[in-house]
Amino acid sequence: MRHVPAVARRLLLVPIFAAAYGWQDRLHGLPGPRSELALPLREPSHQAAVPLIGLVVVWLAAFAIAALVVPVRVLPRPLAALVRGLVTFASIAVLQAVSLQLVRQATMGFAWHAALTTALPFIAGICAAVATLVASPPRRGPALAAEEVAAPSTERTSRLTANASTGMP
Amino acid sequence: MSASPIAIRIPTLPRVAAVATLATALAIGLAAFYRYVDQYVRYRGFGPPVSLVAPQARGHIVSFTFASGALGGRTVNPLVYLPAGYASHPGTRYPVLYLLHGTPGDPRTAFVNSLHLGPRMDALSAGHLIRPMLVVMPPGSPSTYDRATEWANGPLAGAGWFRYLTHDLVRAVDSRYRTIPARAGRAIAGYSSGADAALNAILWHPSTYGVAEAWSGDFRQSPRSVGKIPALVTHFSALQTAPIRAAGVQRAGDHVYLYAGQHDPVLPMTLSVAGALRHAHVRTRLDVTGGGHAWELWASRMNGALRYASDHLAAPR
Repeated sequence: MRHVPAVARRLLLVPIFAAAYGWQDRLHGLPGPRSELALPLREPSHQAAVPLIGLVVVWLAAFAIAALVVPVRVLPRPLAALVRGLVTFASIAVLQAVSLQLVRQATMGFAWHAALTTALPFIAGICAAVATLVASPPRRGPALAAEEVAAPSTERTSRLTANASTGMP
Repeated sequence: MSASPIAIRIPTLPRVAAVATLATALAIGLAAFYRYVDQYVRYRGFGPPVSLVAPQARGHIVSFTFASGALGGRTVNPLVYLPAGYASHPGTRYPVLYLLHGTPGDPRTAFVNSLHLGPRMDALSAGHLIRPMLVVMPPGSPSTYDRATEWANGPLAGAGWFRYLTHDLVRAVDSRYRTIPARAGRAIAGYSSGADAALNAILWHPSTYGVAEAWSGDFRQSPRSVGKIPALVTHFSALQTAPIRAAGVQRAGDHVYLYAGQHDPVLPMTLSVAGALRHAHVRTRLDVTGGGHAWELWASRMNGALRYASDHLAAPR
């Protein structure tokens, strides 16, 4: 993954999250407490709801993969988890509101109210934060980089010293 | 040379298995996502229509082609539901219900695939809840997502969508099918902008249609659809014309059925138009339902709307 350009890695997130919606649709028939309107393209209300356990599994898996594909680089991991969680919450809420407004031909007020009172944006945001905390690879911080830089230099100094003692160039 | 402290070698086989599993899960998820979007595009999330009555009791949906002079000679392909027994009763004439889709939309996606007109008509007919009737579903624009016409006459030549609806289409249907070619044998209904057009049709042609149904109409013409010409905006805004033209509807003895959801922004306009019709003593039924401007609402009320039309149309003869 390190050799894949950053842009390409970010583009990989699109099919990952599309697949997450697909898995939501596959799991919508499972029993259990449900999140309403998680599938806005399904018109009948009972088909648009997805079991909460299904949501958690799908989005944890999706964000775990996303954390591996686009690992945390700059921010400390807890802060990065918080940021990703909030961004995810906002993105999913916007996507739900717009989908409901367009697909259901509802007013923006109704669409936003529905988007912010269903479980999906909250679950997705929490899953994003948890997955980032747990699954993101270790950040390559300054101490590790310095040790890597120091190691070859140390080796070269040792070799020069050895050559000097034997008279070799 | 010291080894890098962060180098971790993962055994090859579990890594390959993990990648293969992830790739498979991704593929399955993407296929499901495609199916999820596709079923919306095809069926608006309602699934494919399935008729549950015996094959011999099912009607058929056919299409015919004609050129409309009001549209500058453009050929259009309305869909027509023919009831069971249409072919085996060559001497029988049937009433006709015209169904108008909203914007954007097309008749097949709206009425055949989403609202499941065929199975509904089959079931209601088999249960003797409606009289056998033809249902004509015309297109109201050149294509599904084409620029909105809202079934109104535009200012340019060949943009006579309202005349096409109320004149050319009616004549084409009456000449091709065994219809009752009179006011008592014609009903017109629609949702959203189709509702606006249905009410305009009976307001401007009360002797052509005996029944009009407006499902979630806002009864205001969008200026952009009629070239922003004020006279056309007024002409096709039932909110303004209903108080003036309702008397003609009353004299003709027509019936009008309107409904809107309580969360639908068009509700005030529906109430206003219903009030104007009732003030003129037009036989009006008004329902305020749960829900909003939504397919789920139109689907849930479709059977009732078909029955209303059937109850107020002439019987097959």
